[in-house]
Amino acid sequence: MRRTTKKALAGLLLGSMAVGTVIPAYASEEKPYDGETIRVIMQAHTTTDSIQELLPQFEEMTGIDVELEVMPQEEMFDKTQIALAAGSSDYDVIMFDLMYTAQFADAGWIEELGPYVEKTGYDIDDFMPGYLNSLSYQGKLYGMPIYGESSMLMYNTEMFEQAGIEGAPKTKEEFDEAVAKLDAAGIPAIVYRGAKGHGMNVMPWTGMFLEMGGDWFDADGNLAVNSEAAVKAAEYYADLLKNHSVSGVESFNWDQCQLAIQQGKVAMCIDATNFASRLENPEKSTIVGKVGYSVIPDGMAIGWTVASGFAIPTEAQHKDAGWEFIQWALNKDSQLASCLNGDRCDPTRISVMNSDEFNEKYNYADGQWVATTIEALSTCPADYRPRIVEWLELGDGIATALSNVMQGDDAQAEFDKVQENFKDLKYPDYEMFNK
Amino acid sequence: MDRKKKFIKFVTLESPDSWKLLYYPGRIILLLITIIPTVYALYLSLHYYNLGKLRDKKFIFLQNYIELFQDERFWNSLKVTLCFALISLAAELILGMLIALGLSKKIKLKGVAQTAILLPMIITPVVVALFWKMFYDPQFGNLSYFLSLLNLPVPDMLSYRNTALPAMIIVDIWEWTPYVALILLSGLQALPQEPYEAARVDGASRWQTFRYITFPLMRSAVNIAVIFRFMDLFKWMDTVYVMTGGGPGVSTETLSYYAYMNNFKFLDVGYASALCIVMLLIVMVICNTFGKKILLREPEGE
Repeated sequence: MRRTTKKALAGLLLGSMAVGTVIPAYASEEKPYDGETIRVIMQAHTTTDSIQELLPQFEEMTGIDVELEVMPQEEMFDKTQIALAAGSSDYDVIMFDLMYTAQFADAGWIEELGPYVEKTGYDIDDFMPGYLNSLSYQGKLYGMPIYGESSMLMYNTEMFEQAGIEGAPKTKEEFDEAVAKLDAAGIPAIVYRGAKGHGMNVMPWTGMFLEMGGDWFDADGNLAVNSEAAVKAAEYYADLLKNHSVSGVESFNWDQCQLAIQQGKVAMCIDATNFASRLENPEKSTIVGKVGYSVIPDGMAIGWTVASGFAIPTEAQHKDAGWEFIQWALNKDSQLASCLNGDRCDPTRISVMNSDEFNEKYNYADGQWVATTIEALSTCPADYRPRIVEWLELGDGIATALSNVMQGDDAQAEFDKVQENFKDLKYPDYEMFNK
Repeated sequence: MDRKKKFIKFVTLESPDSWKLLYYPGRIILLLITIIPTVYALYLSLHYYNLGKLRDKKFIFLQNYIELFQDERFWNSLKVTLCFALISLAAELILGMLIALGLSKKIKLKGVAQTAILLPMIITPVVVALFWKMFYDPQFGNLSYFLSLLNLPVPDMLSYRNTALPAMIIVDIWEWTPYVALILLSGLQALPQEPYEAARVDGASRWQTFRYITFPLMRSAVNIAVIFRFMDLFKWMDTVYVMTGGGPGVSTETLSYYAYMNNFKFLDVGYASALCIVMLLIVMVICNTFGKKILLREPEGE
């Protein structure tokens, strides 16, 4: 008797619970994820600041509570990598950069985003295809680009005048000539990343390596990092930094490169396109209005395309709410707002890059900058560095070899060593850059 | 009733069995946080275990160790670690002894001096490393600024193979000499006064007093300092991470940093575990043979 009443009661309760859950969802179709809490990890970046500022709007609009964790880039990568490897459900949305795409996707740590895009009809056609590409693995999309950059040559026009150089060097010969003239005038010619790291000294070297006819893998898919081009590039790279740069450049990361040109200590810098907003900021820079922008000289190096994006971990608890956040954080209004309110000129939407407001604010050197950026973005490959699962290890090997070459070691011997250490790497599908 | 009494005695540490109450909790905690992880690391070190390629996980017995002993980078990091540890240790001991001797005398403003000297040790190592990195910076650093005032050439310590490690040894000496001085000072203050009086009566010189009385009596304090510092120096990692990332090349890459790279960057947990086990063995061997022998020996008082 008792038992039956209990059962009946339980049934009643369950029924009311079911009704209870249905009603609010029905009542507010606009807020299907009301009350959910998502955890997001992002790197410290102007974009992140702007998202943080606008966050209350999103929370009000959707009822989703967002806990945003902000960390410096390297530490954030370390932390997310470990969290993903451990299969933790700590984060619902993570941030990663293109060099992790293969590793994360191959290990099945992050969700394929294609189905999400389809389900919600998100306008991904507005994103720059190069960025989407760089966050895709084997033709499937795994990340939504937050910011992206290419690389270009930035030069101090005043110093160029002093040294008697007319306009930006367009070829390697002109570039070497410019370096010689700057030497003669006693002006340090160029800085680029010299610190050891797969995203540091490997970046400028790779551009030279590929431009000088090298390729990461040969036609059979075998690693080919001890080729003549690799050695020539390393020697050229080391010579420029050792003999034509400022002191201490051997340990410069991109931040220090930016400081060096921004403080007028060097004539040229080859680095990220988004340096411009800080070089042209009168509060920080001593060379406002004296910067010229040009594509990297032909025959010297090619530029890179890199992008960082949002991804949803496979183990996340609130994937749909996470996707809701990603859509909002990267929509046109959010991106435009972050560009206009902060020093941030690396949006990933074509419509933002083409908007009048954007072009008005970032009209550096009479539009030279925007034009160069767009040109660079359309020519620079995403597989600048090979996006393979073993990249971090291989990249560290190359970085160490380059660092040793800078110290005067023999380039051929150093790159032979890297080749020997990674001789088992084989990627027959690798698309050769210099066919 | 009797049971209850017994229990109360047990809990209030009055029963002869009460040692269990003190012994076992510590044992269990030690087991959980030290012994089980170590055994697990040993287990991992016998596997190919890469977090990025979990599919390929397999038992490979000693393969990781064999690879390790053929790994040029491992031998290099061992060399760097030992070089760093021995030089720093020697310098810290000598300087620490001088500071301790100075502080044990009656000097003016002793309290202030003591506090000031201890300051570097209290700062978080990462902050210390950042501070020194900035200090060494050839463009914006204090060192280059002061040297340029004197029209001296600006050194670029962290960018060259020959100077990077010495530059970091200086950081470690700056940071940890106070710690050594503190241990030695407490040793000095605990010394008996009688031998000194006897020495004075016999007309011993200052150097003789130090050489034949202070030094032998201080041996156990010195040993404690040596062992503690050596263990710390051997696993040195934070300064490397912040200041050079192991560069230029691999000239400042220590064992700990190489293990970190393998584990957290390359995700090769098996290989990193093997490296850590080897490190553990080295520290154990050194501390046991060297430490035990000297620690257990009676000070030679003639």
